[in-house]
Amino acid sequence: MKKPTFKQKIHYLRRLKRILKRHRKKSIGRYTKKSISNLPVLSAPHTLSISKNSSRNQLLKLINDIGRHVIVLEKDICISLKNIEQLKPSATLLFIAEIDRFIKLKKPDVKIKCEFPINRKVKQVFKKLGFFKMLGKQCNVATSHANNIQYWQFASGLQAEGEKTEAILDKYDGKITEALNSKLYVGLTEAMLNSHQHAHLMPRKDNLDNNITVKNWWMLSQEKDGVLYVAFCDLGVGIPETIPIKHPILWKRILLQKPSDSLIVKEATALKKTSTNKQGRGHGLNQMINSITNELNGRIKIYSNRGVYTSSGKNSMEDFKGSIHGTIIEWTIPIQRQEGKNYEQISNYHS
Amino acid sequence: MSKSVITIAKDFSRYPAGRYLSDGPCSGTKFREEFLIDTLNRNQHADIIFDGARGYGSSFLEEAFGGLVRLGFSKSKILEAFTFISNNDPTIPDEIIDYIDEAEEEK
Repeated sequence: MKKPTFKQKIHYLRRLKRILKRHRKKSIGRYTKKSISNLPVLSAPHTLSISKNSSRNQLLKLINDIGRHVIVLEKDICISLKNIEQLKPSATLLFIAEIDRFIKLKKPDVKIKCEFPINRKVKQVFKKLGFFKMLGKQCNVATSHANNIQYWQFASGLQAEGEKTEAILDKYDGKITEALNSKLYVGLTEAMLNSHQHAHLMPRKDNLDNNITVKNWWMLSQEKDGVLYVAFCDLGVGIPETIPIKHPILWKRILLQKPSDSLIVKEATALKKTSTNKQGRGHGLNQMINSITNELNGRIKIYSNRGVYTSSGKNSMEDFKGSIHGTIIEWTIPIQRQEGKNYEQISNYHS
Repeated sequence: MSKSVITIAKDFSRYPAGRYLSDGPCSGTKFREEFLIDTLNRNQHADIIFDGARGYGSSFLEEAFGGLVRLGFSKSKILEAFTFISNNDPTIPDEIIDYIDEAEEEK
């Protein structure tokens, strides 16, 4: 090859400089276009959980801040998922449901952007649950074939649509007993029905000052170490708000005690009559609990507004400072009996 | 009295759920109107097979069968017209009879 002359060398160098300059400009341009630095960034906490006060408050504050920016102030925002390291099914469901609700309520020109989680597994789970698609954001992370990602399932709907349970139950045909499959189907469809019939009797008290009601329900499941978690969520007014209206006699009885949200939920689960006082109606919550806890050695947690009522071997009630403004029913069912693994060990997954 | 077979999972839906038509696509009211009332009005007999569907919530069963009583059909006429067959969940026939009894008490 012929050696370049001094003049040619200068020419090549100048050309290279020009190319580099152009490339740098292009990159800066691309960065500016994609940049979210001008938007208010609302950061998700390290753990998405609603069963511990501190993480629950952080999540509820995030949801409230997102709603205030997007719905009340009508401002574009960026949700940063960078810090998330741990996902609990019920809290993850609440977060996704709220974002879906905001998307349905917001004006079309208001944008919700997001920053991906740094944790690869968390990113994969959010992708598997359709979260990025919901926000119109492309995510190229491969959803691994590892069980911990594949066993997350998600569905949402409006009515008692039994077919939608297939998103969860289909995966367990032949793997769990037909009885368990059937109990879960009944539990989920009764929860859909409760959501459809009772959850939206009045406007939700979340201070978003919005007249439109999103009457959807959302559900997800996760399987981990032989335990199946199924969570169902509605963003209605919550059981403590509906009881005084739909069940005045029960409400009078509750008023004789100190009426916390968890107590109201507990009393609601014992209801066998409906608001119309007709026999045979309103068996839903009661049926859900008895079949799962008595027959299948599982556990049900019902979060509604500030309270949570847990029904398992031992029943318990707890109240928190912040309200989730809605109801989440969470089933925890051992689907693989392992020797030496008792219920206490299973319950540790959620603590 | 002619006899027919209603296999819910095949003839109606594998996903029965809900009470009223507004609750969803496969409600107890819809099942009652499409299958049960006709059989009763024609004085026919039908075996109702519950196996094969995903499951049956109380709302669906109560509205389908308790709803017949509220429409004026007597318990004896209902039980004469239908035989309930449920091998996978043998508690279903008793549950239905409970709903019919409760609806009769209410009258």
